[in-house]
Amino acid sequence: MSETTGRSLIGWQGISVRVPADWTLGAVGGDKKAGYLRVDDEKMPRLQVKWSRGRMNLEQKRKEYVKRLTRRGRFRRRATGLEVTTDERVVSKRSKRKKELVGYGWRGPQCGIGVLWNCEVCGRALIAQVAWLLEEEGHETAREVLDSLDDHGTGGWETWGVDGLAFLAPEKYELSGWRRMTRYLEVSLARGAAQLKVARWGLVPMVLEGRPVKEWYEEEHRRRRDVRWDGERAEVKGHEGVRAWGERRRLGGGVRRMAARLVRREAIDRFEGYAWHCPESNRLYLVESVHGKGGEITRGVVDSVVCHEEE
Amino acid sequence: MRLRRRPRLTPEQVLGSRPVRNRALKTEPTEGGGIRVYAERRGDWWVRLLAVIFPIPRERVVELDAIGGEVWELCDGEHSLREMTRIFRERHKLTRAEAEWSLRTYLRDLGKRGLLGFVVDKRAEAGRKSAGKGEEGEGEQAHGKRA
Repeated sequence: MSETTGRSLIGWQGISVRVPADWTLGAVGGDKKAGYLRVDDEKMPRLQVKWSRGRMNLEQKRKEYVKRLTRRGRFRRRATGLEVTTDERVVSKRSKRKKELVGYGWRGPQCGIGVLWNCEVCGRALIAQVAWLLEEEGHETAREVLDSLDDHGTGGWETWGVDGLAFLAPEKYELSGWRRMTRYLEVSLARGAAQLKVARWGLVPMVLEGRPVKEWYEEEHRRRRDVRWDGERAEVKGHEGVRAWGERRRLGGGVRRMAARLVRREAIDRFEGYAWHCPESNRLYLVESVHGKGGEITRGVVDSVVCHEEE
Repeated sequence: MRLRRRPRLTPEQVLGSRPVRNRALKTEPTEGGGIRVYAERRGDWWVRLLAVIFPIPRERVVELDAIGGEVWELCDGEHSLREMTRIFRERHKLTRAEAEWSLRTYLRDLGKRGLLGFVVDKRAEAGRKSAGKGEEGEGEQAHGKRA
């Protein structure tokens, strides 16, 4: 199923799961209220998760899934030949406290296990399944993956993670966009006017071209129109980096600040950013945020990024 | 004239395909650790005729950077895309997806320019077919453009 023993953290819309390092986010859809994500490896889709707000009738839903697995065709009259079990102990209930859950499994040319639950903490209903080929011994890995699956954060923070870039962000922030390119990955979140961006580059020698991080940052952001900023060299997470600070540049910024003060609201116009180069992982990281006074989250997000594993 | 449909490859065939450099090309290393590739103009009569009318250069030069140079060296017909992904991943500490996408993009671009071709092992596909039809199924075919 997977030749690698390393694990990678995937986090999306409050869902978090640990998967083998060679699995990658294949498809996503929806938002925190209702959505879907799929994680693939090079052979096939491995993990599928679907969530929605509210409770579902677990037994009925499981019956529907079992019917889909055992019957195919337009009117579901033909048997698929898969053996399905519904007494499968997919995950330990002790690891999923405050969740009402049921499991199922199937066996055939393709095998898999799945779980359905209603979560009392976040109020979500979730369905997840992991698949593997009959010739792979994937049951143990599948159980580990589903054991690690969760549908909410803790302490007001939740996990976001794609392709090895994982970080914590405040739960109230919503996804505003993301970009995944051949050696660049960016996740942007927002809460009203407040913004948070976390980005990562690979093949760093080609990005930095021998420049120190501060010089690279200055050249990259020289023509920036959205913020007015200043920066200094800094050690970030024990690595060479840069710290930047400033304020958002907006039309009528002064008037907006005065108006915000009048209604006793804090203007969301403070900018803060950190970038650092991690030679151990050959990556360049960037965390930037625009927030109000008292909304300083940048340092918390920076601290949550694990740029390399300590040996 | 019969139009030949381009065969569709399975993901397994794509990952198992082996890029091979166009041997008609000349190369020389560059200072930055990259490679400069020279592709001579075709010698067909109609190209020579067009060259009289239009300023077609005698050779096309493609400069690959250090990473491109590494990829070029691996395109020896021995390394499959899967193996190249593994090597790239280890060398540059990339995830499997990053390494695979980077390589695919790069190789596709080089292939479009006619700088390399791809040897695809038909055994996997033919093995599947022969299981049903009882045919022999060994062989390879090369995909690529002429420079």
